[in-house]
Amino acid sequence: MESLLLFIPLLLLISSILVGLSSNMINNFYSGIIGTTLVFISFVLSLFLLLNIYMSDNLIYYNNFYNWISIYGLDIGIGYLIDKFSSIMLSVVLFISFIVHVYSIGYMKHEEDFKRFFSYIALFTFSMILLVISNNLIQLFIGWEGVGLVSYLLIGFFYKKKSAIKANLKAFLVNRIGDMFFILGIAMIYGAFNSFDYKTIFLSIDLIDASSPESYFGLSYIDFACLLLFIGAMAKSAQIPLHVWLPDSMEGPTPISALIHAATMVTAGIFMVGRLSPLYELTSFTMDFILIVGASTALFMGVISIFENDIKKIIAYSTISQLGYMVAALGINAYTVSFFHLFTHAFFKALLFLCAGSIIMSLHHNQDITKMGGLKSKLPVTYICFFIGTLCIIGFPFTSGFFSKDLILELMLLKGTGITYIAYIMLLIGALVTTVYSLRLLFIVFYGKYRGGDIEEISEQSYVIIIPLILLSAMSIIAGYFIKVFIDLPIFMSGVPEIHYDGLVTYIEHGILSPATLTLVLGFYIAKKLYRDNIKPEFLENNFLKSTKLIIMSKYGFDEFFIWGSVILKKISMFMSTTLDIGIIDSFIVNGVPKKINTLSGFLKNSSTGYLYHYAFCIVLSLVVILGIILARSL
Amino acid sequence: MIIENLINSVLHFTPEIILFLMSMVVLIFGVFKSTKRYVFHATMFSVIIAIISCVAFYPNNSLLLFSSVLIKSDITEFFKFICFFIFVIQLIVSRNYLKERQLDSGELYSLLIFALLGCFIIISANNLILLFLGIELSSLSLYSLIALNRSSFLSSEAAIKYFILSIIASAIILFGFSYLYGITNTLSISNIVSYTGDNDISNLYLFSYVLVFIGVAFKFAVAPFHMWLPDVYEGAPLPITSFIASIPKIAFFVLAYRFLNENSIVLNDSFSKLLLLLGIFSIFIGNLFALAQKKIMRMLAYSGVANSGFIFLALFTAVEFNFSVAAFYVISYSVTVVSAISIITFASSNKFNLVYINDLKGLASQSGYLSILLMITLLSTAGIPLTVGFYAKYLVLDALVDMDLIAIAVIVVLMTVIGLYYYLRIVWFMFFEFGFNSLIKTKGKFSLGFLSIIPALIILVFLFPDEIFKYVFNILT
Amino acid sequence: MDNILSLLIWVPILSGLVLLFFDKKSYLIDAYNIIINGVVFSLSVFLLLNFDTRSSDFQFVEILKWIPSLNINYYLGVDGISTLLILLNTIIFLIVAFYNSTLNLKKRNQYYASFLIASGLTIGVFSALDAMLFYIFFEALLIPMFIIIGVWGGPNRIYAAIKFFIYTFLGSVLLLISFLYINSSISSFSVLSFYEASFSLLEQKWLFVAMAIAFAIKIPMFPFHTWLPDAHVQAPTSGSVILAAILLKVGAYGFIRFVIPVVPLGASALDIYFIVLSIIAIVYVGMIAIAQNDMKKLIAYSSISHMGFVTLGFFIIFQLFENTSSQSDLIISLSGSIYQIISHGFISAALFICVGTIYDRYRTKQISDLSGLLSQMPIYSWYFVFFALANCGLPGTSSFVGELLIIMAAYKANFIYAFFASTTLIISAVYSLWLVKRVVYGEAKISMKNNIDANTTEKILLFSLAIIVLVLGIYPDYIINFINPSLQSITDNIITKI
Repeated sequence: MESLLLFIPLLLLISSILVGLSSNMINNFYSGIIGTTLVFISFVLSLFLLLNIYMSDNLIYYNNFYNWISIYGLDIGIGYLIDKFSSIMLSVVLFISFIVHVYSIGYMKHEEDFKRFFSYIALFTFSMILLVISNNLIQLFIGWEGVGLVSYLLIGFFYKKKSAIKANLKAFLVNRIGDMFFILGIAMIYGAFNSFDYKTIFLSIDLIDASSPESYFGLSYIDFACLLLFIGAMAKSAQIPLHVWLPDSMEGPTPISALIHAATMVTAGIFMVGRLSPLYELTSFTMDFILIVGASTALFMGVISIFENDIKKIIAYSTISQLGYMVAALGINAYTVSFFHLFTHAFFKALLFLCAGSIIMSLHHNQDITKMGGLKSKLPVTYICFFIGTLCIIGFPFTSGFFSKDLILELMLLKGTGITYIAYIMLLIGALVTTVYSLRLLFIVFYGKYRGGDIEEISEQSYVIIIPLILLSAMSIIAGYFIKVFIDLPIFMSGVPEIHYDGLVTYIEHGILSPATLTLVLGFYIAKKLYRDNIKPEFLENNFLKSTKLIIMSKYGFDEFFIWGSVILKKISMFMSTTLDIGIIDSFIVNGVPKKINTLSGFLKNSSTGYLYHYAFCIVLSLVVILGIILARSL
Repeated sequence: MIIENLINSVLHFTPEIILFLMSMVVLIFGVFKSTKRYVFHATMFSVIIAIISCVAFYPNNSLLLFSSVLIKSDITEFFKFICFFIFVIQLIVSRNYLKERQLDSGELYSLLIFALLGCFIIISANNLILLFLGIELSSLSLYSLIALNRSSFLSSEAAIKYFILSIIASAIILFGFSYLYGITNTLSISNIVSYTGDNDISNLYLFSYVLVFIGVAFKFAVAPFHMWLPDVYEGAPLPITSFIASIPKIAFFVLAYRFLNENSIVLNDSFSKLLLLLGIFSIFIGNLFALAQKKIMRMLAYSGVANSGFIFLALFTAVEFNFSVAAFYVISYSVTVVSAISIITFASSNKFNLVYINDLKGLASQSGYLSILLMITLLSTAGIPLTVGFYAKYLVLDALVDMDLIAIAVIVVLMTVIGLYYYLRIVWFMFFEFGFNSLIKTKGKFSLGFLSIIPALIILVFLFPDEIFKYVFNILT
Repeated sequence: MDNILSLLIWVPILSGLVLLFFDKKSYLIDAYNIIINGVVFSLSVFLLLNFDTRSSDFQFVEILKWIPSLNINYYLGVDGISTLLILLNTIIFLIVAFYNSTLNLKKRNQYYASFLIASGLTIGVFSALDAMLFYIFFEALLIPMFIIIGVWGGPNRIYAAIKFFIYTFLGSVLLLISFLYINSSISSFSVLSFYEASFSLLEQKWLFVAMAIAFAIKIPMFPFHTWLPDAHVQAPTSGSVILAAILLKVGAYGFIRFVIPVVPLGASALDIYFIVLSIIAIVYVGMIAIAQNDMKKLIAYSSISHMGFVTLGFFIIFQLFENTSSQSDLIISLSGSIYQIISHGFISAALFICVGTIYDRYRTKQISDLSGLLSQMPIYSWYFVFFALANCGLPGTSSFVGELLIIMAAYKANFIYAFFASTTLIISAVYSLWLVKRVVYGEAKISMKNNIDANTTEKILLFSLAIIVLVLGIYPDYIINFINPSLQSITDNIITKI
């Protein structure tokens, strides 16, 4: 089994290299097939692994593939730690990746860089897996950076598009900002435990309070370390204010958006916190911080997508807000629940993106929803799938989103400290917002009549596109019923908040009676009125709402802030380069001193006249001086 | 007894005697048309037989000739051989140069021989009178040599300057000598050195030493007694310059050695500080002035000032330790500078005077070999590793550091960094700049081969210095 | 084969001198040059293989009496660090030899000769165990580099060459004085007796300052760094490669071989200043790199900032020892620095070769003149992207290892150091990837319609460099183990002294 385990990442690496470097040996289609099959094999392997783990209770695969570095006392290995948590994550990642592979064969067939694309997504999956199966922080960081890198390459896939190469640079840099804090966090953990290895850390976790009396900026040692780590997660999981890269990352091909936003990259942050939950158990401030960040992201980013018109951007913002839900769940130590939402969200978000992709293809790469409408008749399958996806995301009963989101909201109430109530309210409003924007999207795109010219030329895509959609929609419906698995999931040693779970039926009943349902109804009403029946109620015309709308549409000016920052950075570095470095150090000191000496010597040269009597005088004078000194001394 | 002593002295004095006689012969050769063109050969011949006789009468232990007026020992012979070596090279290199300028007259060669003879007398004199005679003999012949090129205005100017100034210097030296004689009632230098008087007199004794060494400083062209040097370098014919730059330095070094070696009073007194101060001052002046020079010879002159400063530093350390450091420095410097000037002499043999540094632009593209020779020589004067000049400076610094004069060592070293610039300037003009000067002579297998003797030595001695160090160290201690 | 070190030193030097007498146009030159470098390379591989990684003391030792009267000896020997540096040296010079054969130069035989001589002298520097011998090689190394920049350099080459020569010479004379001082007190130049020597704190401080300035100019550290950008910009491509990949390492080597083990007390007394300077180098110089428009300048500044990491790794060890007093932390920090040295050697070499290739194609190094290279010469561009990413310390590439170890060690020394050190994750990403964005991506300029992709030699070179960088990044353990014993002994020595 363990040997098979090695193949899961290896196959992907092989596929990436094989497809990437086979310049003309294999034609596009076959290379696509090869990539897909390899992913499929490792997906099957991961399923096998998952079953194995669930067959036998608390079986954990833990070992090193090889020693990366071993200096006295410091041992870093590249290895794996496969428990229930990581095995589920593994299979989800591989499933989505497999779906995306299949889908891409259809979607990318007209691109001349088809192969590059496949090698990228394989590499992407590879590094994600490296991250998921890692048994130490360094390997985690390697995978972490790896996904960052490949997302950089993927977002910049159309390297001639100005916007694309802007977006990918932005994505990488914002992620790097996170990584900086992340590695500092790792350093602190290492400083405390003298090891990067999860096992060693978790086993010696009791030492930490004793070993760190000093406080960092008013926080306890571990609290601060976890905060730093979480800032890293904020960048990866696109939390306010480091979310700015994600909407722009829509510049990449649509399948990528599915891959990045559904299962891989963005969930890395959530996964990391889940992995290190034993550490986060010990934190207090960080937890509240996480909660607030998550809740506010969930609400404010959701609001933005109500006013967006780019179909992909809408879904992107919805992703951010959904991530907000997960993070908020982490904020109350409900790691499993957050993970559960990650699980369900993976499916329906991938579904939504792929549907969007198929729509975009059918409309010849038009992404503006104001130019869509009435596609229900023309794209029936896509419509149904998209409909399912929407139901899931708004958390309609019996769909997967319903289970996970409800669980989060419920736990918020259960936790019942002051701050969680606030968070609860925000998330509740967030749920309402979610309903509104999702239904808006649905209505505008599929109902009404087509606003983009001749509707007749629009047609459903090939099966390569359709089948993945169907698979995903199936998954997104049933995913919710795994709830039991997640509630029992033991991903941390201590401090699980009590979850009252007795039977699926009661849970569903309870869920339907919860306020969340109210938001559904309300949201449906609003969306129907505004976007289906296109009623423009006059109370929306008052100035306050207008100005808030403007603020929202400006996306709260985060982008502007980052642009401003980069401009400042450029200015500073320019100043340093010209004024300080060349101006002062080089010209004034390094070249200045020799220049001074040179002028001095020129002056001296001119001072030497060449008159004999000057010479004679000089000799006699110095003679007198010297003798004078001698005599003075001898007296 | 006296007779055989006399005979013995005369025998051992033969090299000098030969030189004296041959200079006459050469002079006579110069007079007659038929023999005129053999002047050079006659000179070479005379030098060679002088060398032979030097070898023949090599003293197996140091002896005093003519009732201890002259000393003949390993040291004197060693330095004489060095002088011979340099002299021969100068003769051969400068032959064409002189011929083209119609300077290769009998009087020139005989005066050269006289100058050499004067230096020899300085080297082996053990008597104030004789010493002074030696000094004057060399100086007088050098005045006339400088002025020999009647056509050149610069030469006569230089000659007159050198003449008057060195008259002053001689006067100072003589003044010092008279004091010494007055104090010690003896003319024999060895007695003067070993003189130990009571304190109030010893002050006077030091006073006279100061006078003598100011004279020496003048001859070494140590600042502030250096003004004559650039003019002479610029004005005099190149072969004469290279003579002035090298052989008198060696002679006067031996003089300094005679006066300072094992001198208890000087040792106990801070007289040597004077040497130190003069040394540092002249390193400053030399390097600073040299930076701005546009003419090669003036630049070399100032670099010579700086190097004389180093020699004085070496003498200063020598008072504490031994003279080997200074000796090594003097020899290596004078040999190197001879090589530098000879290369320039050779290059400017086509009726073209290589005066400005700019004239060297792009020399490497014409003759890489010649420019590499010049580069090696200059790097040696600058004291870069891979050249013997490095050891010369190294030893001085080492001595200074051993005396815990770190600060001085650092200052001196920083000045050499400044100095590096003007040596490098010539290197980069030759190698990096573009330019072509057809007048510069670069051809001539024989002379090129001959010129490369010293550079080859410079590298070789760098690689295998130990034997030489050993020899110099043990003859001077 | 017990005098292999002498072979490594003298084979290239002598064959370089021989090369001077070749005919300029003869085609033998290329072959000859490559063969000699190949021989030297295989010799160094032989050295690596026969090196006993378990023992911590110097191996392949050769002692000849050279100048007994000044107690200077011809004393060679290598430990793990110097062996690796010699290997780095020979690899880089082999690569340069191949790269040079693709160029058309004037006076190519002299060009190759100066490279061969430089190679031999560098090996001498890395293997000399006699301080004076080290110094002589160290100084002599200036001359071929001076000539390479001065003769084959760019328009402003003379200024750059002179600046390079005199600036470095200025530093090294201080080194000479301090060596003389040590010699005058222990009357020996052998490095080992330097290690045994003990000085008062004051002496150590002065010695430290003198030596540290010498090597700080060479490495170079802020504020002694301004010669490097000029030298790089003016030097020919292969010259820049040597400069970045080898000559800077000589400075770093000086620190680890002389400064820190010989005068640890002085170092620990003044380390804070050098830590600050290193941090300034990392942050400030990195920021400067962002503003550059000349690619070579940009890479030069990035080199300085990477060297800042190296010096940081060197100088935090004293505070580390105060905090944790465990030797392993010192070793971790130092091995981070050594690893950084080696990795930067390869990456900077690759980057300079990349820039050189662009310059051959388009006759410009200015970023603003270039755009959309990817559409013109894809294969080449991908290498460029790869090395740019490697330059910003991406995991999987060699540069990550060093930076990781140093940051970890720096944290244990002080949180602030780690904080500033880790800003390089952002800064290096900004300058590397912004460069990529402007040069490689985007639409190609009309002015640069020229799609000659990398030729076979360039492909081979870049590929081999890429492989090396990856292997070093993916399996660093070999090298780490290789240098551990040497670091062990060095740190032993330091700890016993402080």
